[in-house]
Amino acid sequence: MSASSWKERLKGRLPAALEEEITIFETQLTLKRQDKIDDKIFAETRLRRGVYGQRYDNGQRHDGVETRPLNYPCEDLTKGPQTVWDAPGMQRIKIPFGGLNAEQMETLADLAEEYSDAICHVTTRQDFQLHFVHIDDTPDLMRRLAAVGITTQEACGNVVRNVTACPLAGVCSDESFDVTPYAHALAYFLLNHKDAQDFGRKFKIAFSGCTDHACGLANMHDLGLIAKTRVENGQSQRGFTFYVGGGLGAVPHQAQVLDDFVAEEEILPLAQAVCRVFARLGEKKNRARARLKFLVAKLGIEEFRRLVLEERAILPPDERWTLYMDNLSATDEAPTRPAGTLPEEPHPDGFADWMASNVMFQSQPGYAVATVCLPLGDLTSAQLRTLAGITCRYNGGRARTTVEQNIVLRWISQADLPGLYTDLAAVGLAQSGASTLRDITACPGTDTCKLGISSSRGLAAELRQRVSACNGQIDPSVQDLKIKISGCFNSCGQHHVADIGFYGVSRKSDNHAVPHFQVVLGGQWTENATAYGLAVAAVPSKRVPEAVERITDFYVAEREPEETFQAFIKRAGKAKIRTLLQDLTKVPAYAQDSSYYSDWGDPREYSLGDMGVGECAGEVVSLTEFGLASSERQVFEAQVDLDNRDFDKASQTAFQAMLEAAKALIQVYNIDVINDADQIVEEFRRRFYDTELFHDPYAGAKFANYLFHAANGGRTDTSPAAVHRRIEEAQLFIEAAYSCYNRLGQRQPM
Amino acid sequence: MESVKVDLKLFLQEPAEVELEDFIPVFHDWIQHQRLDELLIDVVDYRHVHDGPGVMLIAHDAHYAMDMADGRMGLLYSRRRETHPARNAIQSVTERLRSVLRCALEACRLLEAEPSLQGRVKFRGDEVLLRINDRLVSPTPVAFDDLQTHLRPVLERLYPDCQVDVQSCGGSDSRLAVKITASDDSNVGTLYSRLDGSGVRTAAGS
Repeated sequence: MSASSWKERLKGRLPAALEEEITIFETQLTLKRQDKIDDKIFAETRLRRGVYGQRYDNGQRHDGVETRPLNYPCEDLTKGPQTVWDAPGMQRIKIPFGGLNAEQMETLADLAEEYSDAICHVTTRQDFQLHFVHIDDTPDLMRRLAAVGITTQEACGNVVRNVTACPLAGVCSDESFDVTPYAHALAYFLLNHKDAQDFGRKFKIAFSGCTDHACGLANMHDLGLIAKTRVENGQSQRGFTFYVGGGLGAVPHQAQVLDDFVAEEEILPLAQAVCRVFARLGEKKNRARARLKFLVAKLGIEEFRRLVLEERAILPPDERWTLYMDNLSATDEAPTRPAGTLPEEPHPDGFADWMASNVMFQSQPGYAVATVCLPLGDLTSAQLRTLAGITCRYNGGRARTTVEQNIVLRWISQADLPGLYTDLAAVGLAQSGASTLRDITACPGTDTCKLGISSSRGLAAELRQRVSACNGQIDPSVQDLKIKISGCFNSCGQHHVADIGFYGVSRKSDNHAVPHFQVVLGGQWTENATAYGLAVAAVPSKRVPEAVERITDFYVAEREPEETFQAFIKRAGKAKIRTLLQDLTKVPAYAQDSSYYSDWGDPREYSLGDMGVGECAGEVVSLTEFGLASSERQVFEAQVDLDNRDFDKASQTAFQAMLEAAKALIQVYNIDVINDADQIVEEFRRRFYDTELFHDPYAGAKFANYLFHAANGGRTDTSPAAVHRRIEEAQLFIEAAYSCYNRLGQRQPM
Repeated sequence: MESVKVDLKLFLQEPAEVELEDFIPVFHDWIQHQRLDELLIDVVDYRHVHDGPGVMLIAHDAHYAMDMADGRMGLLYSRRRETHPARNAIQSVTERLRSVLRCALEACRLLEAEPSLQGRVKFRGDEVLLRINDRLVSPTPVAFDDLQTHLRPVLERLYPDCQVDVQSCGGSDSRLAVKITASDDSNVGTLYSRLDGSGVRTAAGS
């Protein structure tokens, strides 16, 4: 039973670029353990690999009586500011447009068992998340994902996050066309793109196939693309309405139209131009106002549009802009079973309910989409593994995650629906009620999120249980209402676009903290989330179920025929609803009923003492700081090469480290730097040597000359002594680069 | 078998007697009063998931779950790493297996004695699921034999003078797993005391 390592086991099975990227991360872990990387830079480095913090990672926890230290064995070692190395963390795994194959599902299931808690969590942005992961396990985890074509790169941090898309793309009868290949192309075009590395905050993109439905939620994204066709010269042309500056968060903004029709071949360059404008002009210091929505609001859409088009005009051509269009069918899913019709009854028990709520017929005759409803977005490893097998039997091993935290199986022959239902039911995955009142969305909240104020998952579980208990007795008018819950105002649970939304707040009563939720009404899920709700009252967590019942009963009793919930709330007025809920906002004295002073699913007395510093915003680290950190990593690698007596490689790596540091400094000037060594050296000479900006106050040009010497052939001497000296010179050059960067910061705002 | 990732599950005698919800305050209490010799971190509620990990107590070196896998409630101890000083000295697979069993039995003993559970929790002593939660260890016949070799001295202590059967039950999820059944249904307290007791006797078979 000898165990090798995953690095060894998967050798040659990973794409070279991903293997290199993971090896770099592994080296960064080593350097951090040696305290050779700044906390802030390391935090953003790991965030950009999806390695996220989790509640209690500051090394303390309130146990219901008092806050106590969690004495992890790593002692003072940290993985970011106030973030203990050994503390369990969350691994976010990007799934572009939610597309998964069976092998990927099996791998996710394996990883959850071995590194997490055997639970795979689907997020509101079609990602997967694993919790309670130790940072030391992340390189292996990433390798195993990379071996099946998944990267965690840029899953968190101030970068382009997962590109989401309507999960029905390609099979929906309402769509203009299948947006999948475009979402795929844009996701991989902007991944690690140099123009998308210097943002002040994260950047979210969504695709939708139509205007009417919510599946893509284009209006609440930094960049939203809605498919559209137009006829020109008698020919149908594909394009997208391009929205910018949407977003939820504490201050929600509706997206604005940048261009009503952007031809398909233009979407990548235009998105690139938006990124460049955001990187150049977006807020970097005040993180609360650093999202694109604030820049668009500040400049006005006209000026923002002018800047983007100006940027677009000067972009150097890139063949990737249109290369993918040669094979738009690359992301197509072909059916593996013949089209069919639903067999006559008898059907299995529960099949009719499931069929009514979870199944949609595709635009392709004889096929259907079945939604696998996941309570709170969770499924076990065993369920996901079984689901992988089920997809292999019924649709060629394909699935897509949804922003409602479910999974859809497409291309199911209608003839197979009873069999599929039976197979799903055998593992508890055939719950009906998809996209109904019972299908509640919730962010992680106080369960695992450092920013969580109230238990969004605890409340969601409670509401779900109560709604399920009313099975069959819920008035049809409220059956399809959406409930969405966030643990705080940051809106990860998308409460702004729910019919009935909640976000966690805290209130003081009887000298104790009491978990509450603000009730948010008036939001609109349909039409790509075109209206945001507003808070009407803060209700204690334990009375939220009553509040839901009261609001829905009021709607059922007072609504006019055919009146929608949004229209009803508008007509009734928030003041009336507030009055309706008024008595529920009262909290009894602690001695009278202490249950109000703890949250759902958590018997500890409620406290805000566990809140930490969130990592959603990432750390604002400039490209120069990243570059300098990278150069330090390279000089470390040169030392390893030297230890291994690979002198040629060590010499070359030391030179590369100096180039990386020089390039990082050049980026202070926000100019495009290419990777050609001669050009970097020349640009460095012109901007830093000739101007004496790089000169050390005491040593003058000495350190700059190390670079010039190596560039002018000095690195060809690969004797052990010369290589050793070169590594020392590289280290000194990097130190001088840091000093130069600091001096520049003192002289002028950068 | 170098992997430290070992899972061990003991099953409840009468699972219908208790609700998963009952374990939430118990595990919080364990953290508050440091009932286990572990760095205990948090409690997670997965009751909403079908046949899932139920209610979990997250510790630094291991997870403890009132697990519902395959519809059978039991305590699943899942070792993740060995940083506890007492585990630094583990030198062999047999020592590791004994250590894992000791931790699991200790948690079971505590649950059986938990006042708030009012004696409703009793674990079976005659059935144990053991799994290597590491896919670097392939579930081959050779690996199974190897595991049996390391397991034998532990089982000899645990079940002296009785019939013990060790069957391979893994494979479908690519993990090495065995089901241990014994003709002796001693309670967990007895099993725990036997683990560290002296006077090893040869088992009838394993």
